[in-house]
Amino acid sequence: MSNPYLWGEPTECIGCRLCELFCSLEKEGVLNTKKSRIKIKRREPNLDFPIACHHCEAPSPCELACPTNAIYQKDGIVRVDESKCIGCSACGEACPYGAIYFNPETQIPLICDKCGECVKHCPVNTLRIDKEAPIIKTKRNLYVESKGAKYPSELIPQKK
Amino acid sequence: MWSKGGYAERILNVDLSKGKVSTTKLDKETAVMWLGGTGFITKIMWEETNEKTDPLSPEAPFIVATGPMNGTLFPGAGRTNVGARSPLTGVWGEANFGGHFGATLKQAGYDMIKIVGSSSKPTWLMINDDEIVLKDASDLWGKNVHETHDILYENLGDEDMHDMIIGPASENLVKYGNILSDCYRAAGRAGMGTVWGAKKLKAITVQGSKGVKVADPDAFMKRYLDLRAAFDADPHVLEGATVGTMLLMEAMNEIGRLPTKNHQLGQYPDIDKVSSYAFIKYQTNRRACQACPNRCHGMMTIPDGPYAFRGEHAEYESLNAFSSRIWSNNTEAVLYAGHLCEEYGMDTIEVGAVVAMMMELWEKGIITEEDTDGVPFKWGDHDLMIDMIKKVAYREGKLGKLLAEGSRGAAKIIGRGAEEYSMDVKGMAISGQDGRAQKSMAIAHATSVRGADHLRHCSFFDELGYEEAIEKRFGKQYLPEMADRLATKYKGKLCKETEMLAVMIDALNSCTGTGIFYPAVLDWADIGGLCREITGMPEWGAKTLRDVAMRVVQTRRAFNIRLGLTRKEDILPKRMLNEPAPTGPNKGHTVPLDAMLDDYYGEWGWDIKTGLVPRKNFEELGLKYVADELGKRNLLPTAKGKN
Repeated sequence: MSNPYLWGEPTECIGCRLCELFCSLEKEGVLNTKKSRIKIKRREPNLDFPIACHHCEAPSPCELACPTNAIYQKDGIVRVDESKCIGCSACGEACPYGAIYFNPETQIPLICDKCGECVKHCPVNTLRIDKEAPIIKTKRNLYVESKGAKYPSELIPQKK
Repeated sequence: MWSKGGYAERILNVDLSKGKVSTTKLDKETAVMWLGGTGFITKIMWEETNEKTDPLSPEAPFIVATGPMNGTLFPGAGRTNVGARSPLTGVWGEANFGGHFGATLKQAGYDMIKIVGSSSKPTWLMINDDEIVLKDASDLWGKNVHETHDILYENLGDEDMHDMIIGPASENLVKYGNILSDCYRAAGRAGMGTVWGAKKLKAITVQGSKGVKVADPDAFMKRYLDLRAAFDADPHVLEGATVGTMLLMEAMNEIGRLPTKNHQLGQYPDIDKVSSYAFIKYQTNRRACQACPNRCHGMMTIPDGPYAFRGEHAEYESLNAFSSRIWSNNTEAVLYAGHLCEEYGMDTIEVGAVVAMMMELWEKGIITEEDTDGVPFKWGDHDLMIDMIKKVAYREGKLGKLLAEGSRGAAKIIGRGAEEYSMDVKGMAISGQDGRAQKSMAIAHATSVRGADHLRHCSFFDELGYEEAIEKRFGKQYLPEMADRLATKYKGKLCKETEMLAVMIDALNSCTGTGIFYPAVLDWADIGGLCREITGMPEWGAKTLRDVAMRVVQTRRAFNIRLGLTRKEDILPKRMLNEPAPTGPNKGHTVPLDAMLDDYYGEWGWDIKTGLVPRKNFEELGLKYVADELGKRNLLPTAKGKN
């Protein structure tokens, strides 16, 4: 996972779907949450989880799964050659994150290309394109804090 | 297509008796006359019902309506309006809710759903673009709202599915059953869910993939981005985003407008335990409706203890209903009571009010153990409150049946002067305000078509003295009186104007908490511009929209007039009129309602003596047929008053 990708913290996401609307507007020219390349997966009672393509390092599972070589990577971005796509959804089945959506009319995969339009309009600024998802840093911090207590404090460099 | 965006131009008709669905075109004339949302509901309720339409009969229509703004990027664009004749009050019934339903319904290609008939067995209406199916919901009947939502969500397997669901309270025809959307968003008041209970309609789910068009995207986007910038700079929006309406607990306590002890008081001594600071400790995250940056709802969780639950939207009205109104300071019990009402699907305000009334009747000795199956109704008994919610939802025992009738209904059954202690107007309990502490609210409560309610008038300009907003909308000449919540001067004018703006909110559909009021950036001309940009219809402008608002307000009133209501029903409980506020900043204040009604009726040009609406008012707005109907029934004012 060396490519930067679009990420939002589920604890911060408010589920407003402005990202979905801006995405469909930017990419498809309509306001349609069903034509968005990012989706908020909602689970009650209180979880809103933004999910978009992770841009796995090439060759990505979707790339390998595509029977017509319609999916390829360029500059760390997973892309779709629509002229080759047969709308079989094999890429979606292969994606470990379920982060590939399909245009309801054409069945062509909708894959985030990190254009950043949603990032610009997120009201809580939780969406970002980052090499490392913040949750990973958060987990690392939690881990270090839990271990840190076991070491003598003089070993931990103090701020001056 | 006569519009270039905003409208789907299609109505979904559902006949539950015949098990038939069909679609019809939405004609341009309807849109131009009524805009959408509450406007559509007004037109249909006037034309397709009459004074004989029983609210719970199969022929009573139930309408779910969107407006041209639904499904766009505009804040509040997820809201949905519903309307029917209210089983609680017997008069005009209407409610609206946030979330995603309205936007998704538009995305599926419908402006509204019109439901008539009643099914012989429980039914679930599934809408997925053009696929409309009436499904058997026998397995869902009896299940609470969260359970039902989870089952539907799993069943459809679509994260873009949104729903409207009733709980056991509505199934059991509790008079104030409500409808919940996606578990937490309530079309709360006037017993809208009860109408579904009678129709045996358990749920509507909607999935849509058609999208929503905007006629002039560039101009719309410019207006949108300006509004977003104003939003981000506005302190009220920031408050809404971090605390939401919970904040009103302490704010209203400060100005003595917090209904306490069944409206005996306006301030609660234990406010610290039931203020936003106390509640926010239980907040896990915040949520917003579709396209709204103003995440006004906090998601609450109590991890353990007797009141443990996960997930609830806490907001002012429910918090007030279960705390100061019943003199209870148990923070967790307040949240839990709100959670239970979400599970069972009932109006929090009404159930809080009816229990508060019972507590006062107990205090005054009007009811005793004989009336309550031996249960003492002591002030502040939060466990009794919780117990009553459960009993009411299933109409359990004598008490459950009694309280399920609502505040006025229960008082009537009790008799012995109990009605004086029912804090209601037209049969619906007063929401979390007090006309003595904010005079414009007295007009709102007294004249609202659906009974005591603040949201038909939205007269918030004098609440905390928003002088700047008043100067911008009305002019400097109305200051300082109009901004003074305790002054009566100019309040008729204020209420007329804000009532018309409130129609815009419910017709577009936008939201009270965004755009139209805070920040006060949208004037009539702006709303007109917005409508033109969304729909591409050159008709929209300040005048045409004001005409729509006047049509809606007066036809809704005509609906109630047709049912026999006059000025006599535009009244407040005696407490507000005769009992001076005993303590706090409004000490000594009562509501001089008669003078205020004269002022308000005068602003509208209604008959002062009877409250009837003159023929001229309708004819000027192209509503001769409404005037004719009223004329046939001798319900137009004459020179001497009512015929």
